Amino acid sequence: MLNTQSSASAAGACRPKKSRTKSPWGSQGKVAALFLAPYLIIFTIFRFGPSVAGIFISFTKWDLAGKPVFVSFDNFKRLLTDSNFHVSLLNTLIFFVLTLPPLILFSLLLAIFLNQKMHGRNVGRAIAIIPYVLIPAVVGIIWNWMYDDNFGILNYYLKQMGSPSVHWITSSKTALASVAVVVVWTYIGYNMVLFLAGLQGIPNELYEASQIDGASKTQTFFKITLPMLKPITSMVITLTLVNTVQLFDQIYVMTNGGPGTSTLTMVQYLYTSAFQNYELGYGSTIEIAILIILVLIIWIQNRLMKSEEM
Amino acid sequence: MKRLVCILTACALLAAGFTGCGNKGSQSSSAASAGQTTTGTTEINFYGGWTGADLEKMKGLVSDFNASQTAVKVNFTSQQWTNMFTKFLADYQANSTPDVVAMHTFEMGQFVKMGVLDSNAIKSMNLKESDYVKTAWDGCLSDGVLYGVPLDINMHALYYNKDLFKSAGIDKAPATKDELIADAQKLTVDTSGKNSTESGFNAKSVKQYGFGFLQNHHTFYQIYALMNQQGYNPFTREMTKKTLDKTKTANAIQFFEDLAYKYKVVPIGEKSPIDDFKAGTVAMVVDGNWQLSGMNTVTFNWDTAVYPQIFEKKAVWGASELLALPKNSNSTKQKAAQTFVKWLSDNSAKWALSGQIPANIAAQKAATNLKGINAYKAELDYVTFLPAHPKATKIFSSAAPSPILTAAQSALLNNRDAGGIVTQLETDINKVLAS
Repeated sequence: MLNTQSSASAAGACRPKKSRTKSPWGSQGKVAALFLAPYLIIFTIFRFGPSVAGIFISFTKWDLAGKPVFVSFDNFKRLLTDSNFHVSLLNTLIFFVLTLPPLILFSLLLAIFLNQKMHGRNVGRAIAIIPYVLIPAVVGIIWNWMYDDNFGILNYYLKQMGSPSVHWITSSKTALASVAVVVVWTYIGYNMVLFLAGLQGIPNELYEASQIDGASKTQTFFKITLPMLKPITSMVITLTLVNTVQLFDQIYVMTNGGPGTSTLTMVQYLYTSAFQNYELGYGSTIEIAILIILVLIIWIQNRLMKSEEM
Repeated sequence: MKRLVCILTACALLAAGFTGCGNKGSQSSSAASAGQTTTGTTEINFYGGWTGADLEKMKGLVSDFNASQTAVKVNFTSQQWTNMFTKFLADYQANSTPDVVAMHTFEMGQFVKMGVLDSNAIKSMNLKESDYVKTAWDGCLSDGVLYGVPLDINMHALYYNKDLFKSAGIDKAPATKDELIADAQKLTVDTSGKNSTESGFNAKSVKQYGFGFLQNHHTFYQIYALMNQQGYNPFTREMTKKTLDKTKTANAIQFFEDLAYKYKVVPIGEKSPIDDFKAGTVAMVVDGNWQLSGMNTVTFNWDTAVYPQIFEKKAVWGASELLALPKNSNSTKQKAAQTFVKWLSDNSAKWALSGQIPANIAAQKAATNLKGINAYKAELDYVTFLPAHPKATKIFSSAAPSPILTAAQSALLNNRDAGGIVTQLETDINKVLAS
């Protein structure tokens, strides 16, 4: 005769266990939520809240002193015919095109170089990140003096080589590109760190296997490294896009949108409209436009990345 | 146990965050809504936009006022003008307006239109027009109503390096167009020692320029001065649409383009003319009397001269700073603010040590003159101000896409056709006026 208890327990041992779905609000989730809470509260109050408020303000005319007056879509209609906004939009897109390729290419190459086992690579990595940790306004001031037409160090060396001086940030033809150089210099270290993390996440076995198969370094780079870095590259492109579109400090310090309107970007124009011309409604409308453009570009970028994977 | 430590740490961080925010809030609210203290002293807030050497002078004046009596205590905050105005309006909106705000006369128009300034509070101070320089007094009027108390006047004049002048064989500062061009050419010297009138002069290798000035909105202030020197002042407080005199405006613009590109006596893209002057790399610069208090570090012989007369009449750009009283429901604080403003105006002789010319005539006469101030005082009869139009800060702004900045930089930095610049300027100004 079977021992019912043991047979029951044996049956229980054979019966598949009921799967337990972990609740996100389990003990670990609660701890995580607690640690995230300070950031989320500050983000909601100082970033998300004002952004949402901006959507409502964009439908008003408000000079900050009085009460907002509802004007329906007038601000948006004005945006469509405002030549200064068109100039700022074009400048922003040109600025993005000038900064994106070097910020991807040079930081990737730097990451590959500093990923190799060699003496001083940690020092190299630290030096590369220094520009990023400097205060943007300080960076702008330093480069302002370096770019000085008459007494700046860059023109000094050009004169020494017998070349004419360049009006780096005082000519409308070169000002935007000159600021772009500063931005690339500032962010290259940051992007390098991201690519470095990506490189270190690539399994070594892939490289070993490719070596065994007799692949050259170039083939390894294009067939293994680049494809494996795709998620990181996508993230770097998105972050670069957001950072360059939102750039304010360096332009404010170096050129303040000039000469003329040659370095006037959308964020610069938003600031001028809202906080110098006291047109908060119109400034908020520009904010909405920036948001739409950013979302559109990121969506296009993600679609392109996904279609490549397919 | 580990979990408990994590939870406690998170709570501590949150608490610290909120406490920090809470402390800041209470500090700012105590500063922003200062009123009667338990000792009977009324605390008021005074906002200014001074950030240079004159800031210390104003701090000194405020301290003197606070020390001279116990009925009123002034809390003084100063930051860059544009940022200060944004703070002022935000505080006004939050019902914690400052009690006294400094501003320039051309900035007053927008605040009058916003309805934030109290003309009745100024009126009840019973000021006398005869006590003030007329131009400064008129600058505080809008439709015949006084909205502020004039504090000072500043304008452009010429700083010149007497040692460099002597070396070039020039015995006095230029007073006319021909003298200015001739002197600037003699004083523009390349690395081989040749000046710009001599054969072999290398314009690409200049070690010393003859003439310098700020190449931003201040260039347009000079263009404005030269328009007035031709008897033409196009800007009024009431303007709704503007058609510029193409010839006279283009003449004014062309003069500066010629200095830079024809005579090559101006360093294109110059960032800080006064620093270049102090370093001895530019022999003459146009700048304001606000620079005078910082000239004590200069080691060579220098002086100032009146702004040269380029065209038929004498004229020079200037501006005036005034003290305004925002609308305030607290009558005690308003009375305290009136007391402070009156004191500051009557005691603005000390303010002259910042290089500013007191608008209060008695204070101006009592003031200790800084070296170089006499040239500026000599211009008081023909200094011309930009009008306090409600959109003046958009038209005459120092930041892109300001119409005047675009015009000035198109001329100085891009050497565009002067006629084309005038057409663009007119279009841009009318766009702002119509908006």
